[in-house]
Amino acid sequence: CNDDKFLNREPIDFLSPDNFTVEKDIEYAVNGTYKAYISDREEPIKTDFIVDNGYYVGYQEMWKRIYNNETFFIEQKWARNYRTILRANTVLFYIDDIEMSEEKYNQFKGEAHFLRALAYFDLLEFYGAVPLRTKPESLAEKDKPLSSEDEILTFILNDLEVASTLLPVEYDMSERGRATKGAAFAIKARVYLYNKQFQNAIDNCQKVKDLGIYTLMDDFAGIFLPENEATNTEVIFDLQYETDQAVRNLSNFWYTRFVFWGGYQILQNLEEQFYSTNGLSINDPTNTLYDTSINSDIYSPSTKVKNENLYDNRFTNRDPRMYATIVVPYSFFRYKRDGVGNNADKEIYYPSSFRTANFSSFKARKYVDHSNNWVQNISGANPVIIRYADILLMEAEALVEMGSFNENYVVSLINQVRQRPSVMMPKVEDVEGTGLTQNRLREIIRHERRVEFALEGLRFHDIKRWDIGNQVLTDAKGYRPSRLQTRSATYELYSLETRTFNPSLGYKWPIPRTETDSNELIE
Amino acid sequence: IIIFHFHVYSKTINSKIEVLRSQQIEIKGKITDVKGNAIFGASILEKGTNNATLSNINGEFEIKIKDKNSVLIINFLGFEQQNIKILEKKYIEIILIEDTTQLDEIVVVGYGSKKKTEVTGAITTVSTKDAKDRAVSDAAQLLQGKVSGVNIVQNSGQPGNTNSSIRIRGVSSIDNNNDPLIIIDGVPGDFNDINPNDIKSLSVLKDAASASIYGSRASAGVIIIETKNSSKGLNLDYNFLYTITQPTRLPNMVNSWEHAQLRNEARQNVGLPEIYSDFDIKEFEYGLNRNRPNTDWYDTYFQTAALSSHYLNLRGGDKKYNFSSSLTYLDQEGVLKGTNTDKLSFRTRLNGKFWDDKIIFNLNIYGDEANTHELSSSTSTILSQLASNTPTTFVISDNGAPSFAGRHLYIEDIGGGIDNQRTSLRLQGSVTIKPIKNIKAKLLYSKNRFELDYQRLLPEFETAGSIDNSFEGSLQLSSLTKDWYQTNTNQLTATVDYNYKNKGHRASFLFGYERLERDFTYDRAFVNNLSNNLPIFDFGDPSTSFLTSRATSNATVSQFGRINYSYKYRYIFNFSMRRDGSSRFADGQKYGVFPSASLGWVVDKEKFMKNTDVFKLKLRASWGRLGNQNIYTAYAASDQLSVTEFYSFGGNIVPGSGTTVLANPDTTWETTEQTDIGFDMKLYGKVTINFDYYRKTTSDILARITIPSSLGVTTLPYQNIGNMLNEGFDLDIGYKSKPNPDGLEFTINSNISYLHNEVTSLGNDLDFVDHASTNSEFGVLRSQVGSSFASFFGYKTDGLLQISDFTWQNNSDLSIPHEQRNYLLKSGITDQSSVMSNPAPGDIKLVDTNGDNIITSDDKTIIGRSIPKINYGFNINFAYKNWSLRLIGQGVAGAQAYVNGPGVGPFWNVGNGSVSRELATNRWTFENQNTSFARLYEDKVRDALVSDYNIYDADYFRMKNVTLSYSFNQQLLEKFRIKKLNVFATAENLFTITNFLDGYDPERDYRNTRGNFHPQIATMSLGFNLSF
Repeated sequence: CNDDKFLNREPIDFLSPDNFTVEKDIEYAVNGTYKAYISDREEPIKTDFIVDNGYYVGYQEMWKRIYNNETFFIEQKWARNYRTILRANTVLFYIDDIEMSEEKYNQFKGEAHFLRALAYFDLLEFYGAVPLRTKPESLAEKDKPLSSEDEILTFILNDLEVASTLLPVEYDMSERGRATKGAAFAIKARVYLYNKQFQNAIDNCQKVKDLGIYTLMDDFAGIFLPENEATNTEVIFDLQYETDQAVRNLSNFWYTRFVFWGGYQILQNLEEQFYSTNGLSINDPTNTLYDTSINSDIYSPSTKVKNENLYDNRFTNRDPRMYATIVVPYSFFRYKRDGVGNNADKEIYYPSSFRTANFSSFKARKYVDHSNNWVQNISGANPVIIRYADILLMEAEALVEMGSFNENYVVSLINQVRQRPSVMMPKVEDVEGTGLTQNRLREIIRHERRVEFALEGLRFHDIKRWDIGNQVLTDAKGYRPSRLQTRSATYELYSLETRTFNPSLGYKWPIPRTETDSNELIE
Repeated sequence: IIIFHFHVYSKTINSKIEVLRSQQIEIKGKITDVKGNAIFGASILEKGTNNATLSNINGEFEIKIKDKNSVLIINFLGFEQQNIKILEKKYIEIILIEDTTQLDEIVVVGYGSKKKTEVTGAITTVSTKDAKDRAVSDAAQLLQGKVSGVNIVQNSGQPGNTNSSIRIRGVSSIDNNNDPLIIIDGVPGDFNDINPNDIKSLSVLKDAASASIYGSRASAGVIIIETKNSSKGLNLDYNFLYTITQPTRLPNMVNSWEHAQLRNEARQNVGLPEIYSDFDIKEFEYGLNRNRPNTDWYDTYFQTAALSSHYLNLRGGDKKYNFSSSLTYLDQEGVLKGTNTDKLSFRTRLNGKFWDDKIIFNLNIYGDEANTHELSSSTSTILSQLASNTPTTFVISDNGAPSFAGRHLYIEDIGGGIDNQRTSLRLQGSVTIKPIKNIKAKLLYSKNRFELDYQRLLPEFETAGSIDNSFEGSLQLSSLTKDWYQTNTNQLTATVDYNYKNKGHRASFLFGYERLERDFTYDRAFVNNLSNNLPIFDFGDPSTSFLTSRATSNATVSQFGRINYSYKYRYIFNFSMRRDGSSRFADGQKYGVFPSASLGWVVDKEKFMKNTDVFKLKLRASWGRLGNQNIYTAYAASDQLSVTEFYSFGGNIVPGSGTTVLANPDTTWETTEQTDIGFDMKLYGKVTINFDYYRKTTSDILARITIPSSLGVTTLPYQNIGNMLNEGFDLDIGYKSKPNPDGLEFTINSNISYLHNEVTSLGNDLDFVDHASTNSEFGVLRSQVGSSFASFFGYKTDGLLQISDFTWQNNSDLSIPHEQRNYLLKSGITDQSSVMSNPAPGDIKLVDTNGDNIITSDDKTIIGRSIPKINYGFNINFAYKNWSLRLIGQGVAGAQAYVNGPGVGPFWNVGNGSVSRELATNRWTFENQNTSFARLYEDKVRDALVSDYNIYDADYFRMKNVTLSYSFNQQLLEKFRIKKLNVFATAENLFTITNFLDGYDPERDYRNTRGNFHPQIATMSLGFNLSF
């Protein structure tokens, strides 16, 4: 009747998925799936600050490993991944009802499978057995038991297989950032490697290489800067951010947090991993290049530091990736406002000036885009999910772990990474000699990954896969900042936060309490 | 005015003139009330005749009577009748006394009014006479302390934010609206829409039988506001008030050098390196370096502020028409520097009667415009930042740039800030037709438009870093944001009334139909990088612009009816029924039916009680069902797909979508049933006692309960899940002294109410619901079966851990200094290291409630209650000759509040915030072990522990209002042609008695689990009321 009509109010400002009618609806749903994957803009970099690369007091419970099923960090990752899964499921559930070209159909479907696999893989890595949801589900279907890790793994591999057959090799420049065939192979290689299926990992690395479109970038530091996005041939898949689009949640804040905040600290535990340019560790007594004396030219006013890129003696002649990854004491850390690229306007990092928040005396540099010019939270830097250097080192690792390998080939893979023009660390054989044992090669590869991929969110997985938590998840070390002043310096190594590795806790996180409280099929 | 007078007189005189010619004694006189105010329109009748007249505007009358033995009967509504023998008098002064014995005042009820004797529910009508000489900007405050069963919390003293929270007989919903329905002149509104001066009466419908005529919107009770009507003659009132305001309580934090020392101590306590060197601490103490300051942030941001208000009301009319028109202007400065509000409101009522009063037209137009200025962030944000500031941070550095913490006042200086303009316009028209006697039909249409324009302009500027800012100096981009909110509400109400009277049987019938629709739109535009410091989008960088909109529409349709029956005013029966349909629910769930019934027995009208004026008693009982559909979503039955999920490919922004809210098509009404038993008693004509016992049960409570986040959404949908009980009593006692125009008179009204609230079930599977609509509540408030709504949930503590609870190196070797000991809990002391890293002496001692010898999150339990058990208030008026003094006091007992966060917990969230003087003085140290305050720490994990350590006794008694006023003698005023002049001094929140946390106001919304919110304000005012 008339009253019923009066009471019938349809939503005005949103659609329901069951109202999808045109290709655009699906396209937007696919785009929204990518957005879900970056709905936590700290991912994946933040996980480096709960291991032995960095320390951030905001993640203290995670770093100290006293988290529980109510810890926000743990709930947040869970929610991010399932948000992605719901949206991917929505695409896959409704796409068959909508008319579109086969090309678009394949692409959208492939992207949804790819993103769903990424999300389930992240869940598998951090939580293990999780509920497997394969279509959009309503409140009535809220209860879902855990699927075993094997089931989840199989599901991920299948999604990636489907994605790799459907996705195109490349897109137009205007579509750069969408998932590609190469990305599906690369992630598949990673899934296999993390799950110790080495031959499959190698095969998929080979498939990435066979596409013939990925190469290492000459300039290591440039990989992580927005200005090189269009020409970046090394990145296989990354997350898309844009400069000055904070209002659409499309900018990230690493420039702000690393440059302007003291709280994100890089640990000496990472700094000491960067070898001298002779390829030797700074802790190696035979390393004559490592000099702990203090160069008085570093003190304020630091003209030489600014004009000649001078570092204190202990930080000179080090792996160039160190300078691209972290900020060491008495070195350039930002430009004065409006002084981008102008040497005269460099500001120098004096740890004593930052001591209320930074206790390690090291700051982060990777992903810092100085063109943001002092403005907060507008960074367009794209966090890398996977890049070609990882393909090379994954292949090397898989080969070594298989036990039977061609040493020259393995070493050549590592050397490619070490010897990109901007890095040019000595070849493995020049430092280590030849006839290396499996263990020695394993150590070399692990070390290479540590310095190559620091702050890219991979360290957690490496520690877990290699089960080296009890060796590396120890005290946070740094140089006492109050001793590193503008006109005097003493390097006093100390623990700024203590930690012991409790093996019973393992590497897996508990399933968030909000899930277990409301999902009655999880005990 | 003169014409009107003449008209009345001529009529009276003409009709009587023949009869009176024979013998005439001319009597003159004057009729006043006990205060000497002239009574206009009192009737004067010569007993046994038809000879009558009325008093004029000055209370004067003249009448010609037959002989000196005649008796004059003087009557005026609301006053006791007086019979006066004339004898030899030629001039008589008559003082009428207000009729206190008569219970027959008119009480406003839903869709009508009733004689008070016929009321069978729990309705309290509040006098708003005090409105004119109180400094309240929010009409809800007129209710505070005056009505039993009503808990009013003035949420803040922020200018322009007048949203007091009002809870009638507890809460009946979990995270929905528990606000009562407010009806202003027949149309829903809110307290913001009404100026306190314009209110004629405020009626609170507490029980279900009274409220159920409003059906689905009434489960939290109903407040009916009638605005001032016109009067006869022509009147002009002008009220003026000037007020100074101050915060009631502000936190008292330590000095910068103490802060530095204490923070070092706090860090050492948890094994972290020190921050401040002795050199730094000396620099803070000596104050020679501007960048090493001692900043009192509350002193920096707060001020004593002023408020002034003007109220002008013009009203008048005669038998056929009347009008009332008012204008109010309020100009208020905030106690937070840089905030202010000015508000202009107007209200006009016009009534006209035609065809022998058979058709009555009524037009109301009212509206207001309020302009509020805030600093560059919302006031609530600023307050939370203030609490996070440290005394070691400068406001402005020596190079002229502000610290991040000090930026708000700086931005204000360079032309930025937030401006809100709130406009509302309400148009209302009704026509009432009385075609035949006893039938009245009314059609009312109202259209309300509400707009809020928000503008935030931030100029570009740089902040300077400071020693204590983990935030270094940076460039803040300029930006301009404008938001437009619009709500349009249309209501159509049609009612028909029929009255029946026959020999002591009286019945009335009401039938009605109502339609309501509400459309809401919200639009936002934003741009960055303005080339010019002006609020014009064209100056911004177009690539940063952003547009977004929201819109909802909802509707209700209702049919309702009511039958009243009374026999000789002795036995009264009421029945009402309402059927509501709501667009918020899916088909099949849309309609709800809400019946009610009530009975009254006026005992003193019985024969056996006859002739007793000493004792009057009415017994009442009622039952009714109410609904609530007021959930914060208009479309519970649809999956909601957000379309603002932007992403970017190849550097181009692309639109994206994603499901953000899941549908729940089963969502339906919340239903509340309430039983009320009470009595109204009057003793010796002086003492009134009203008592009600009630039991209110709510079922199908709509709440957003936790769903598995593996479903892929984190916004929780509404589900009908639980039952809740509110049970209690309300008691009002009044006393009125004998009229004594030349001496002291007084009235006392006091009230007390007790409330027991309990969540009785949450469906089959659930034991509790966590409240988490904002972050600060997260993990603190929980509604659990068997406990009170929104109880505090956390760890129980048993004081502090002491040295005797620990062992340390070398079998607890006492010669080891404290700072070198590795303290380990003794066996037998519950291990709490899984929730608190490295517990040490001076930490809170957590209680192992489940007895498993280890503290885990399973040991959390209900640790406190957010709903006070007892509310009380009193209202005392003294009058002595021309003076009067009013005292309004109000308080709560059995109240608790959880307070933590920056400024309360030490060095909250790793050095955001400082410590209070109270905590610094009493903190546990090795030198001061005998204290209830824990040791200092700087530790997020300890910050996050919710325990009863942070639950404070929030009982308070507050002297809400004290007013002293003086009325000038009328004889004096007449010379200046002034009818009335009153001058007064008034104080709101004059003092508060409480044991609450030092520096914080105990009157607070239960959701404020952090210390940082706008303090209440105390005001002192001078003003006057002038009438012509």
